[in-house]
Amino acid sequence: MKKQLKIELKKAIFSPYFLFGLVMLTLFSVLSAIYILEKNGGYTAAIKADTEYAYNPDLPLFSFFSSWIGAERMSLAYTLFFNLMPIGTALPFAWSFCSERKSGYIKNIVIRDNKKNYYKAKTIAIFVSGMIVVLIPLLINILIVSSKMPLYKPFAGYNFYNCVYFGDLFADLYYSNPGIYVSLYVALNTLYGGLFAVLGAAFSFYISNIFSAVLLPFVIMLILAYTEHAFQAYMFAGDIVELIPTQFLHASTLYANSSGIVVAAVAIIILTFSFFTIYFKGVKNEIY
Amino acid sequence: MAIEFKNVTKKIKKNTVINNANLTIETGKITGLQGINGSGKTMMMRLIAGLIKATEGEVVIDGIIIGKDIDFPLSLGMMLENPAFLNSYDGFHNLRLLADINGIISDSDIYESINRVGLDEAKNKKYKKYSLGMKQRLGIAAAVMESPDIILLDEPTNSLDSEGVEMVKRIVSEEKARGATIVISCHDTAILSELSDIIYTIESGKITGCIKNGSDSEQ
Amino acid sequence: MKYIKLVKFDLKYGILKRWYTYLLYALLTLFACMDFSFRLKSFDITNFSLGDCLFYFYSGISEYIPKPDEPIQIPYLWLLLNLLVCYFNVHYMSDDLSGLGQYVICRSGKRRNWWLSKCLWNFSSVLTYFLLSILIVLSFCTFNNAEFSFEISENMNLICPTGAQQYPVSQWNIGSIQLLLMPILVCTAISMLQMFVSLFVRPLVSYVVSIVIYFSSMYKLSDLLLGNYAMILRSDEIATNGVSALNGIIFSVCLIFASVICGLLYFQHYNILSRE
Repeated sequence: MKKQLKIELKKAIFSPYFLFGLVMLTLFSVLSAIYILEKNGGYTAAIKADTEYAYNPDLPLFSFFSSWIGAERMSLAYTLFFNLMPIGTALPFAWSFCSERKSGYIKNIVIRDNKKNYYKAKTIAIFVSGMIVVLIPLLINILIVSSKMPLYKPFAGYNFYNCVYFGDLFADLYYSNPGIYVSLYVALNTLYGGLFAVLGAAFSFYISNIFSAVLLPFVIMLILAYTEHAFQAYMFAGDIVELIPTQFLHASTLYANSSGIVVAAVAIIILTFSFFTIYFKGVKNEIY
Repeated sequence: MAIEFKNVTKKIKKNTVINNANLTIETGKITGLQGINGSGKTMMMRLIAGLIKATEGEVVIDGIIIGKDIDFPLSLGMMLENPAFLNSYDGFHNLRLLADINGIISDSDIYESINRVGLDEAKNKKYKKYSLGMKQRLGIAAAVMESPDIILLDEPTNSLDSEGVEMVKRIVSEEKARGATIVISCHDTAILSELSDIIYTIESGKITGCIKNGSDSEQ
Repeated sequence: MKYIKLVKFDLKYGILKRWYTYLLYALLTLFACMDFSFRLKSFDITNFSLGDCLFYFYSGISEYIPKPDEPIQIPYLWLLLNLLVCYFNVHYMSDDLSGLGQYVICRSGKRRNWWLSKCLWNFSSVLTYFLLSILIVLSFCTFNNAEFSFEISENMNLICPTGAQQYPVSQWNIGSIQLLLMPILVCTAISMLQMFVSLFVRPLVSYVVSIVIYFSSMYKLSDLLLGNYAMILRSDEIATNGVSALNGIIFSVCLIFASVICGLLYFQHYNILSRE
């Protein structure tokens, strides 16, 4: 299993598709950083320069914690980053199940190693590749933005500017320990990066066309987002909770409050669906 | 239909897949292409078919330059690499799809081609349920069903049982008797020698030898 | 003659045999009609017109001015109606070229026949999606005794959730061009561009290009971003700094022709090799 895992990880990471997914998401994260530094970077410098405003309570509005890609809500780049995350994460390796089944490569593996080990190793490799493709761009964005924007602790009284409302996921951490808040959201995004990748791989068991399978998580997120917005009008405003991963993965509220239960539930649903698909359609099925 | 390669070189990205090839494929003869995997046999067939264009030189069929005067030979049947058909159709309908484009043969001609390659029992079976050998047979049927003037067969005996191999030999001989110009590549030198009037050996895209009816000559 | 046969092949296999994609699109439209119906009920509106329904589908979003506390209200319905078409059409050409298409193209006699047939398929496919959608909307309107006109009711700017409120309906001069022609034309242009781009790169990458065009158009009101012309709220008949339908028609038609002709020229020298 260890050998197989090593092989699959190597195949996943040293592939041109991994590079493409990584470059795509990194490009968005860098563009977001550039945009926000251009917008907000000047304010901090201006306020600092003018000592009359040295204790301006607006200062925390222009801090790193409201400027990194997970918090900013102005640029096209952050929208593309989060909405295209299902594509970027599935690109590196989610297609490999389908491709290796079609080409017959899987037969070469299963006669040499346990079929279960192959699927386990492959799933882990897909998950890890999806995680890396999200983690690196986020870290790059954090590095760039934190190099210019000061790390002022957000002020709870301005939650309508920061858009992290009381009741949101980890909201109290945001105003008490924003560093941990950012770390938790990076971890959450990384986890979901892996989940999206595995979801794409699971879809490839149902759809024979590789491109359609890899793109399907993105299309489904779009359909679910529309469905959610369509029904929001008929729900009580106070009870609206963000259900769509590409929206609740954003650290500040976009449309509805985020809830830990929903985040966990969606992760479990994706994981369960993917696991059962890969197990029953892959491990349990015969190889033709 | 005589096919001529005149100083043909083909480069794909940085690789030279055919290197200054000069050869003549005579009308009504069976020409064999022999070489190891990756030597350029399939690429030569692709050049004849017009699927790729020569980087330098010309591929001429009866005085007409492929890729310049016309895009594809006027009367061509081919089976290159692994046959590719539509999974959701059966064998007969796959062939009919192709036959409908030229519209020169009827359903009975298609059935005849299917019988010729020994697929009569599987003609109504969906293509996705075909074995590798059956897919190969269907590919051959597609190549010969319209009685084309030029037939390109890339390793037609792959995946075939002994009966299938005899079928290929029989069909190739029949098509030659009809007057078709046939280009065939095969790893089995015995079959190639048996069928071909002339065999060109290819190595790394270069024509390295020519075997004519038992005699040998280096180029 | 052969060209017509190629077209028949593509229409049969590219449209009729892929009926399930059209069914999915129809289901989306049906769902959108139900959404529209519920929205009307929540505003106690009983009378509406065909124009109202089409406006709801293709309104898009008004000009977005980035603000820290106001994230963009993504017009998901508009996005879905366009991106789904591009999604369903993205891989047909390249799948055909690496499969049975090699046999078909040799029989076609001319490379341009094959390419032009694919272009016609693309156009027909997009048109079929939209016509199917319009058919469902017409049925929905008939079922609900709606007015069969392109007039947009006074209340529509309240119902549409994506920024229509700032524009008083009485000043709008919206007709069939903005409601019907522009969405179809823009989607055709982007789908054609997508098909041309997939000659160079994988279909997946070309789809990402289409996504970026639509998302960028949402963000920026600009004559250079084609998606703007498909959004009714970005029309100069509504917004003073909006985009002109005439420019949109010219842009779309030019892009269609450019994709067709550049594709034709490039395909003349394209190496048709079996692709994984």
